[in-house]
Amino acid sequence: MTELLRFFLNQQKKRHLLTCLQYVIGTFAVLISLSFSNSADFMTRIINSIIDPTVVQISMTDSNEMHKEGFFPIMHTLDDQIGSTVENTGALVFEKETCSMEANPDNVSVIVLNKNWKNYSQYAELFTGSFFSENGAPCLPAFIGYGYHDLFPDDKDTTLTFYKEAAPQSFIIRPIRYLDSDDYFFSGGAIPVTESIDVAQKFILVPETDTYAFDNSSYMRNLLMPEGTSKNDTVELIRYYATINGLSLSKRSVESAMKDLSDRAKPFIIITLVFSGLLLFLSSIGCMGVMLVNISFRKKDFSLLMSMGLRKKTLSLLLLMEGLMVSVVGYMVGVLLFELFTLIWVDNPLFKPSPSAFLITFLITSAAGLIGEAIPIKTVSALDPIRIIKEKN
Amino acid sequence: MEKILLKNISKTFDLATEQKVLDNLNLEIASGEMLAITGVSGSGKSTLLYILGLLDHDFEGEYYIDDKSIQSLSDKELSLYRSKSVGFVYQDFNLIKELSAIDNVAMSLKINNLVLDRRSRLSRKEIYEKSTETLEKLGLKDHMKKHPGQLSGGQQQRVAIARSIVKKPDMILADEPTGALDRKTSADIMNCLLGLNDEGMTIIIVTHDNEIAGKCRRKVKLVDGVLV
Repeated sequence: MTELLRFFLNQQKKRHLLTCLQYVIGTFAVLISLSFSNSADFMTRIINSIIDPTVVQISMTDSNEMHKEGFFPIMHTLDDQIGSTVENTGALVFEKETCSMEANPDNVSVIVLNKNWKNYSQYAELFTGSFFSENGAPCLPAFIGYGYHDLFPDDKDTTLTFYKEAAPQSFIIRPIRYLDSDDYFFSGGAIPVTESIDVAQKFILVPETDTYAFDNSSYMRNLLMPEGTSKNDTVELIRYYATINGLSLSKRSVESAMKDLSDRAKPFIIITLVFSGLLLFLSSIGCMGVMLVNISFRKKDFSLLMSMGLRKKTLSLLLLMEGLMVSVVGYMVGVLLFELFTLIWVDNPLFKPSPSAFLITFLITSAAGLIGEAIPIKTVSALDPIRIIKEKN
Repeated sequence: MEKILLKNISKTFDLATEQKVLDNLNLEIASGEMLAITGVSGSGKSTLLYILGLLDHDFEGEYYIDDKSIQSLSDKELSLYRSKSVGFVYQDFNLIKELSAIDNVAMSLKINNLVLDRRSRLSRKEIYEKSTETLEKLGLKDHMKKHPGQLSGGQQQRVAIARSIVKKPDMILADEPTGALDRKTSADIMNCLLGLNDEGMTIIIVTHDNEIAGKCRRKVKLVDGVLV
């Protein structure tokens, strides 16, 4: 069987390559699609598993002032913290929902992260998909996180590579060293998925420590949060500082915030899923076409093999195996291409599908392949070897 | 195999007109015979050959091999029988063009392996040893790695014969084996087939060439599907 399979695979190499290419494209498209749609998945996971974040809404009342200096001055004050110690950090994150660098933001979201969130991925997941450009397209995640100490040699500012090209003017990563640790707390920005940087996300970090990072000229002060301060007290303090800086603060539930994000993500997810589904369907049709041609070119050989004793069932099985091998290779190359794509062009560890997505993609690709092969293989069972053998070369 | 017996074999291609290609045909072929089936084009000789080769089992009548009716055989058993006992040789050689001469010959054994039980299967090494041996026997020692396109008509037909005999079948069924060859090469091929017959192999040749038929030890003629 192996020998025959090898022979089958060696026959019509170019056509196999073409079929393989279609699987590659299909796999790639599905993985890209699932990477986007994964945002819906992570939202669910956040709600289910992450410790009760409080999401509050701030309305800017002094947007002109806000625009003039933006949040950068506040971020710059973090310079003061380099070399200082930060024992524990909660973060206050301002997301300017629709602002561009030039636009005055009317609304910003404030998300108070629970200080127990020390896992980078938890932060990252929270932000993945939670940023949207003005046209509704999601941005790549902003992040606030821990670890990555080797990103900050000599405790100096650094710029994460995957943001560097897309938003070089923005998000310089500032390290804050932990006490007795090589780990860092750091913050970063978000970039839109589209290459144009027409949306800027801004963040303010408010460490819950006894070190002061922000001076009075900032829009937000550093929050001095004694250990054990309750969440409500934290929110109250934020509200206070927001108010004195011309901001008004109102509370809303995390479920409502997540639903809002999910609603905004939905159309995009649907579009990408429909698009990749269509692409897979076309791939399947393409495979069917190539397989039909492939088989029609080999009808005489198949008939000969049958005259030598090969059963139609075995022949169909061999063709199925041949098709599956081509689709598996196509799938593997597609995954490799996807990994390369995300590494080189997206270069963001958060832009990835869930592990199960690879299995789903494999199943979808195989199913598309099987559909694409079903009809061609059926034509084999209808082969009339005598008539074909009698045909002149 | 000792004996082939065809009893009252009829075959109709066009059911609407009920035009019979073979009409109540009776034929007995003993093991080791060299039989020529002659007749003009359309007389039904190729159809008869494919029935004999178990490739066509859609016919009326009875077909016995060693007193066993082939109608009682399952599709799997028919394939097994075809694989082990029958070797086909065609007018157009019908070699697989992507394969070298030796691979074409080996293919026959590889397919044979699929129908054999595990213990009887040949290893890859054995397959190629047998293929080499057969090609050498047919004077193709220096052409084993060549593809069909690099071989002459006579050489291709020898490869086709090697492919059919490598598995040591009970009978070789040759459909106009010299039809695409010049006179001298045809004689060579016939000598080759005669040599195989001398070794005890049953050979059935379909031909419209009386000269070729004359070299066979027995001749039957088909006229409009009837043996005369």
